[in-house]
Amino acid sequence: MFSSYFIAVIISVWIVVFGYWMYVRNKEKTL
Amino acid sequence: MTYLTYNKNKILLFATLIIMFVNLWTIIYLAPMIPDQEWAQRIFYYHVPLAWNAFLGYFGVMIFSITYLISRNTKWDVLAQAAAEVGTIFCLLILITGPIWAKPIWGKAWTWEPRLTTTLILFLLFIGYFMIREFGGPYERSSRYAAVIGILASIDIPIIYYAVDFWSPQVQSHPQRDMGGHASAVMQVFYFSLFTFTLIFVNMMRYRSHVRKMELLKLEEENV
Amino acid sequence: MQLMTLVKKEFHQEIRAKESVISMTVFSVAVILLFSFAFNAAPAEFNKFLPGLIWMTFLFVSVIGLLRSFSAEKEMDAYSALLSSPVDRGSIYLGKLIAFWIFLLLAQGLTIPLFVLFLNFKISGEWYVFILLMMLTDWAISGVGIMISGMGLRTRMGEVLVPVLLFPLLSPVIIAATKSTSAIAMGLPLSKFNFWIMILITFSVVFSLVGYLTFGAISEE
Repeated sequence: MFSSYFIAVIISVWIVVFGYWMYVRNKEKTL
Repeated sequence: MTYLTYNKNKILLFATLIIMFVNLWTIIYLAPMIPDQEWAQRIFYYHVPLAWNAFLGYFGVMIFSITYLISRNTKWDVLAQAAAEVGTIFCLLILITGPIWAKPIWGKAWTWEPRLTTTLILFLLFIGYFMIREFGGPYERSSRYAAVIGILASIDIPIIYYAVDFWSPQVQSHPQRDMGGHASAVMQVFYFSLFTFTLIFVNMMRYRSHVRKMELLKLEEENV
Repeated sequence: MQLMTLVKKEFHQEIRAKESVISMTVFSVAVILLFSFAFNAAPAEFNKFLPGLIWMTFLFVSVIGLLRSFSAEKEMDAYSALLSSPVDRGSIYLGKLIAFWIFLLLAQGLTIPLFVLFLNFKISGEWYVFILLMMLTDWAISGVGIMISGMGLRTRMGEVLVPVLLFPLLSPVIIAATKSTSAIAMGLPLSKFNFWIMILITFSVVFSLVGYLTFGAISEE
């Protein structure tokens, strides 16, 4: 139903945002 | 103290997550369907707020960098670094979502459209910014250099934009470029999305600054 | 006045001045030769790309020259000596800016004839307009370049950092210079490309100002 492009965008944005959060969290843990 | 031990931060994060879901829901169920462009058009609700926030971030880099150079108070450098990082992450997202949006709408993933081209140049600029931070030597020096680069980069943004705009082959008016012509339903969903991404931006800034501050404190301890 | 002394100082290292201009010129010649081979110098289509090629060449040449602009100071730690004298940091910046600007113009003056000779570079308009364009663009390049090399050359990966930072920063300058050169080559009047000139002027003014104000922060130990 949804265009696959639309889904691709939603997924990539969420992945990058959470990925960055995890990256910062990793830094925090290894302090 | 980790960032999430503070209640204020927990609440902020939780609220933002909820709003992110609500945002997605409104984009899927409330936004009107645009005839020619169908579902691909809705990428606009993610792509454009990303752009606005990236520029917000880089504007912050300019202000924080200038303030840091004048006051030499570390807290401004912490903010500058966080703004640069979050801004660049958003830039990356613009560069990812832009071509994905362009492909179904315009047929080609990359046209030298002014906004995307400017974002690409900015992205490269800030790679240089992070390289200076990494290789610039001791903190006192690398932070100063980064501040100067931050100022140069952010001041260059409008110049780059106007130059690329005038240079690029006349791309027909991209949907994102005339904000005025949209139905009010579209604008409402858009503003809510803008609000959502600004919240995401704020969360990321706060988290990153907090961790950066801790990093710097630890570095200070080790040097004593 | 202080500024004149500083500029003269750059020249007094006559050997350095000669080295800079000569190495920049030789590099341009090499690039021109390579372009001739790579593009088979087919005149008709080539002219469209020539302005771009010319400015790309000059951009690379600038990097070569900039990498040397602080070399004298690094040897014999002359930089600390310079900084401990009561000279206004902004003036040091301007002195280096003007000196590099002149070196670049000299190198360009020597290579433009080669572009004309080997790659059929033709200007239908007035040559003095093109010379003024070069002066303006070189000021922009020098303004940013001196700042970047002032920082980059004192760091570990300095020689890589200079082009990495310089090229994106100068992208509007290159666009403007290339467009203006095409216009001048086609003999168009100033009104057709004054937008690009405005970009160059704005860029030069803004970045020279930033450089003047921040060079103190750049050159602290």
